[in-house]
Amino acid sequence: MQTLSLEYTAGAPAAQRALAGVVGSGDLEVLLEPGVSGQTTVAIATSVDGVDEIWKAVIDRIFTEEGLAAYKVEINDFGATPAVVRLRIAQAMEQTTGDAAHD
Amino acid sequence: MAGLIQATGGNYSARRPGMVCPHDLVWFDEAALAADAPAWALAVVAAGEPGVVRRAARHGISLPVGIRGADKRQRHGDQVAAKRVSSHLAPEAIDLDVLARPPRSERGGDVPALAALADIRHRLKGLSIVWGPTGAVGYELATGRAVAHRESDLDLVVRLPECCNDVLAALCEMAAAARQTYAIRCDIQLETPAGGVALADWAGEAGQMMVKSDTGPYLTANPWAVAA
Repeated sequence: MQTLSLEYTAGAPAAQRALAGVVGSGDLEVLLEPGVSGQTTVAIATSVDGVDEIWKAVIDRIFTEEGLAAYKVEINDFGATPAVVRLRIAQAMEQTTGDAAHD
Repeated sequence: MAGLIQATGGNYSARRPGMVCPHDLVWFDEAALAADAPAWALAVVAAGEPGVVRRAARHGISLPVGIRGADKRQRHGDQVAAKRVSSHLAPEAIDLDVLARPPRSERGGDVPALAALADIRHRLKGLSIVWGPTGAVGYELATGRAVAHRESDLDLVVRLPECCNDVLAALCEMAAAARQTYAIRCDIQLETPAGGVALADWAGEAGQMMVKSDTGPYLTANPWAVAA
């Protein structure tokens, strides 16, 4: 199990928390929570060794975008491809801005 | 979600003659691998072990395959010309009777996923669905190579051309029971007309689930809604 922590400049805290993805081969679970104002933190736990550079590139590309809310992101990875990582984070982000909160 | 294009391709929900599906095992000689394939991958294939068909775009007459090395980090993705494939085994065609015979029957104590499969196979039979083991367990049963271990998940593929809530509910129950009794993950991949969907994703609360198609993942509310 490897862990990786990343930080990004961001805006105001996200409106609500959201969970996307599942525990399972080739997938991941991502939990988004409102972050500290101005900063997004991303913590990744992965069962796959030696892929820090790929993770950093994929996550950088998402969270360096201008105008994003501040999130506290936790990712549990089970060997997801970069395309799956982007999709699951996008799915969770969409839920944090959704008007109907589930909890 | 803007930017998520509906991909096409990847309907493996019902096997047609001659169809090669993701998770199928294919045997070929090592010369069929790319010239830059790592030495360990050549050695695995030269030793008579199969490749596993991957879910990826198919270029003409070649198949995307993965080679499984001894180390978990050893995974090699390649494209193999379909005409180089000498034999082929689908997950649903793997002989599960080997579970009951030595040496495999003696592995259950060391490999909970094998014990779990021996336990639930008869219940699965009762569901009248096409299914088979994939991942380390499927590979071990098909090849006899002891690749599964104590922490191995039980990975299954289930072909489901039509949505059937009773079957899905029964599968959820079985996966949960395997988890509780054997303390392992039981990942069930549904092959739908849209592509592969994790049973856990179907069972989750999100409005959309992720489909793994040949051309990449996308979200959909109903993977059975596409025309088969």
